[in-house]
Order: sequence, then structure tokens, then C-alpha cells
Amino acid sequence: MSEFKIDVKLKQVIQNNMTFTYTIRTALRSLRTNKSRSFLTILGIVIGISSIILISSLGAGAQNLILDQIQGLGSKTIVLRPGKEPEGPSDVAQIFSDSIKLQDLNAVMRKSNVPHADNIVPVVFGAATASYGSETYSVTIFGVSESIQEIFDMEVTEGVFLTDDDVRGKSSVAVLGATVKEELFGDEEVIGKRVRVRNQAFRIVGVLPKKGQSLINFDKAFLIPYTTAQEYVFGYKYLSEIIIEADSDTTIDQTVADITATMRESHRITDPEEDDFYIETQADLAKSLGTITDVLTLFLSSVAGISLFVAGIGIMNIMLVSVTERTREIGLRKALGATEKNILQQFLYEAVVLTATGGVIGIMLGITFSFLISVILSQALNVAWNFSFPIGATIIGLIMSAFVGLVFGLYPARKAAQKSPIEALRYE
Amino acid sequence: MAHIDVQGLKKVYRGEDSQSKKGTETVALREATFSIESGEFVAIMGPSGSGKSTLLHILGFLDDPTSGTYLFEGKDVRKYTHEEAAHIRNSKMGFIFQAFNLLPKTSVLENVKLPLLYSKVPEREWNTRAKEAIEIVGLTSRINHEPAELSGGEKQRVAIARALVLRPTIIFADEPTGNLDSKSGQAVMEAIQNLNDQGHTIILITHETSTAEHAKRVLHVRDGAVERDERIQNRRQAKAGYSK
Repeated sequence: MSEFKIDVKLKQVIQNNMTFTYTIRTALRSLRTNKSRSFLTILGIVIGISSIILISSLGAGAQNLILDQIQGLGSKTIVLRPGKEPEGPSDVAQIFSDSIKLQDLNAVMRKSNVPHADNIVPVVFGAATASYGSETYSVTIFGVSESIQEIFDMEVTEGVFLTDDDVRGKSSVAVLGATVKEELFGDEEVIGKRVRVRNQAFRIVGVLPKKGQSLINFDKAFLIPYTTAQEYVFGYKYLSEIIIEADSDTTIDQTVADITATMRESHRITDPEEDDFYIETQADLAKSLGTITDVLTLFLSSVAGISLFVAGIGIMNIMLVSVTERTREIGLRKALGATEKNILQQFLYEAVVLTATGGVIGIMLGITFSFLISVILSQALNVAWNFSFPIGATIIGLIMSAFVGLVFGLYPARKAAQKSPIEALRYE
Repeated sequence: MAHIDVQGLKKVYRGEDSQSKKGTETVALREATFSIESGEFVAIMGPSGSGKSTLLHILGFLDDPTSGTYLFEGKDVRKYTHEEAAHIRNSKMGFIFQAFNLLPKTSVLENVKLPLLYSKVPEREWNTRAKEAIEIVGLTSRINHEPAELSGGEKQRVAIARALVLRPTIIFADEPTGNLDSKSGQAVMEAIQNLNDQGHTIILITHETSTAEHAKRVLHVRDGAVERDERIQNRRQAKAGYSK
């Protein structure tokens, strides 16, 4: 009678005359009697769960930051560059290819060729030294058209931006990046002053606000009309790149195809292998960066998962010790009428209460830490790091912790349930 | 119908001999045949190793006999499933142990409630029931104390309260005074006699003649068999030494 194979399904375990709250209170009381042991057991779960929360929250924060910055550049932005797409560091030389010329710009600008292009900006860039009086500063010259203002939402803090007339008239006017202005002028008034670049004097018409970290840094930029740049600064007829903005997110692919077709026709290319240009979209970049952060989050989460597994084994160990220590109690409870189900349930509840408590504490700690870190990061790095509440990870964390308790509590609980009452009562 | 009716009860323990690797057999109970009516107060008396504890375990559904038949309230116990056996232990039997077996760091009230956890009594009645039982053994003032704060006699009275909280028909007491001084022992025996007076069947295990004399009938056990079945004419009354 005392020994029989345990045949208890979980559904049966739940059915009991004892109320749920009483069972939980009983479990809590028994865990309280061994405070330090319960605390150490919970600690493992707390660390596991809080790291999962922390990692997924910070991962989501990093992803949002990167995506925001890319979005800031305009997700509808398409860049047409000369040469072959660089496949490695040795291909950098291709950037200096001269295959994109004004006729290509005109072809792309034709509505019948690329109907979904909203804004098209030819860009000529290169490094140069700008000087004002005795001050000199190394700048990046951006020869652009006025439409760049719309693509990148650029505004001037002082003066005006480049105009259509400046571009057509090849005017020697410039808009300065914030750092360039500071280095050359300090606090001095800049509008109307003349800055020399490669023996050409440029009248300053505007200043850009400080942007800080972003993928294209305009702080060191010296913006001039691309026509002026070609004619008076660099002395060549080709373009460094053409930036095209599609009219909506859904027409990006169509626009890329249209540009490719237009360029091939313009360059009389029939074999795609022969392409002397390549196209990049912000969506591609966003996708690949998103994948990187996803993989990173997944990797770190599995490390946290391993720590949860270890914590689970800790739980099992502690529960086994507890079952041995409480052999007499188990015998007594059986003598007083507890069935194997009752005993199994009691120990299982204790394990689940332990891990669920650890889970709740872990979630709270994880959220607190990730919030603090997001505040510190946005202060220290001066980036727009937003705290993202990890709802998914919170739910997974709760389920995981209860699951760990169930799985690793089951074996000790079964061992307890199978103890024979007289053996247990005799145990000293 | 007899409350308990046993015929040729036998219990053999099989163990492994570490030296010879052969199975060894220990006969704990050779032969027991007797019946006990409802409301009786029976002492099972014998020296240690006589098989009296084994007999109690079998009678209390804590162990199975190797052979023989045991009818509890007219039904063969082998027909009970384990769940049913646990339910009968809970609802019809009360246990009092020599070592008290109270849960440590748990109040008197919670200890007495323990059998209620496994019963069909609804939870809202648990406190009332437990307090009634504690009142009967005179420990109401100690209701929130933990076992470590109680004397041996008080601990055993808590165990008695726990045994009777579900109003069982039969109470098994295994050397209930074995760990107590004579004064506390008297108090415990008076409580047990009171239970018998109220109609509970009592089966008491002891090796002391003085304790056995509180019963109405003594079964003398020796070498695994019932040697003598004695009716006590002048039952010893524990009342004199009882103090709260």
C-alpha cells in the first residue's frame, strides 16, 4: 500500500480541496523558514531573468537608435554611385570612378524614365582647406543642389540655404557646417563674409545647426552649388553620386529598377555584369543593421537562457535537499491523510513560488537597470537613446521562471510523493 | 460488526544482506488474530522488537501485511486504493506519536489544522474546528505558540488535538507518554481516556504496564504474536494527576 507507481497527471494535481491561496501561503511559510537558502535559490533566477530583460531592452534600444538615425536620413533615399559596388576594403578605389556624368543626371531627372522620383540631388564632394583671415580648417566640400534641403530636412540657423538660382548661375556662395563656422569665425558674424577654398572666394549665405553624431556628418561640411564645385573647385564634369528620394516607401523598389534601366540605357549596357554604377538604399542599410542587432540580442539572450538553466538545476538541488530534510514532515502529512498528489503538489508549488518570486524580482530589476542604463547612455553619449519597455521579454521571463520551477521541481516533488509514510516517520 | 477484525496477520521484511548478497528475511509479525469493537480502549503491550509497532502501522493503513486478512469496518483493506486508504486515514483515524511529530516553526493552530488540509471540510470552517480541538486539550492560551516554546506534555496535547480535529472513529497512540515525565504523561493519558469516554475507539501501544493499565483491554505481544488477551477490571484513572 505504501509503494506504488506514481501516476499523476498535472491536471489532477491542480484539483484539490485545498484552496489556491492556502497552498501558496503554505509554500511561502515553508520557504520563509529557510530564508537564506530560499534567497540564494531565488538569486539564480533573478540573475537569469533580469539579464534577459536587460539584454532585450538594451538590444531594442540600440536597434531603435540605429533605425532612427537611418530614418533621419530618409528611408526613401536611394543613392546612385559610380563604379562597381565595393565588396571589400580593396575596392575603395572604385569610389573615384568617373562614370556618372551630367547626361545621366538629366536622364534620371526625366519624369518618363523615373516617374516616382521626388527629389533628385547631384553631389560632388571632396576634401579641401578653407581659410578666413589667418584661420584655416579642413572641410568636406559638398557640391549639391538646393533639393538636398528637402531630403535631409536641413534648416539653417542663420542666413538662407542655397537656391535654384545659385545652382544655375554657378554662384560662389556657401552654407557652413556648425563646426566649420566655429573653427573659422568663433563667435563672429559670418553672413556675407568671404571664405577662400582653392583660391576661390565664397560668400557665406547660411550656417547649419549642430547635428552631432549621425551617419552623414554635415558639421564639417562646406555646402556649395554642385555646378560651382565642378567648374571652379574640382575642375571635372562628373558627379560623385546622385541622391534620389522616392515619392513613397512602396515605390522604392520600382524607383531602383527605373534608375537601373535608365542608367543602362544611357550607358548602353546590356549585360548587368558590365554595370559601371551601383545603387544603395537606406532600407537595405536599415535591414542589415537590424539583422545585426537581432542576432546580437538573440546571442546574448541565449547566454542568459543558459544561466536560467543553471539556476533551474540549483532549484532542483535545493528542493532535493529540502525533500530529504523534511522526510519526517512528508511521513506525517501522509499519516494524516495526504495523498501522493497532495505531497507532489506541495513541493511543486514551493518550487514554482520560488522561481516565480525570482522571476518577478528579476523582471523589476531588469527593467530598472535597463531604464537607468538608457538614461546614462543618452546623457553620456549625447544620443537620443530611448528606453524601450520589453513587454515580450517580460512575458517570456514570467513564463520561463514558472516553467523552470515546474520542470526542475517535478523530480524532487515526485521523490517526496513516493516516500513511504512509515519509512519517513522513522527517519531521524 | 467489529471495528477491526484481523485474521492470521503476518509481516515479513525483505532486506539485502550486504555481506552475502543474499536476501534476508525478518519476520516482524508472525501471527495476529483478534477483533476490536467500536468504543474499546485497547493497549497493545510488549517489549521492543515484539512487533507491536508493525501491528500498529498495519492497523493504521501505514503499511501492508504480507499475508492474512484485515477487515476495517467490515471491509477488506486490500480492496482500498491508495487514495481511499489516505482518505480513511484522514477522516476516520487519528495518530499520536511518541516523538509528537509537530511541524517546527509552525504555530499550534496551524499544526492542528494540518489534517483539515487534506479533508473535505471547507476552508472557512478550519479555524473554528482547530480552535475547538485545542480547547478540548486545554491549550487555548498557547494557540499562537510554536512547538519549540512548549513543554513535552503540551506538545503531545497539541498532537492529540490534531488527532481529534476531524472527529475520527479510532485513535492510534504509539507510546504517547514515552518522551514525557510522569506528570505530563498523566495529563496526556487523561486526555486519551476522555476521548475514549466520548466514544472514540483507542488503540494504544506501550511497553509500560502502568500506561497499559489505563486501557480496558490489553493485548500482550511477544515475538511477533499475540500472546495473551487480557480484560482490565480495575482500570487506572489518570484524572488525579491532571493539571492544565
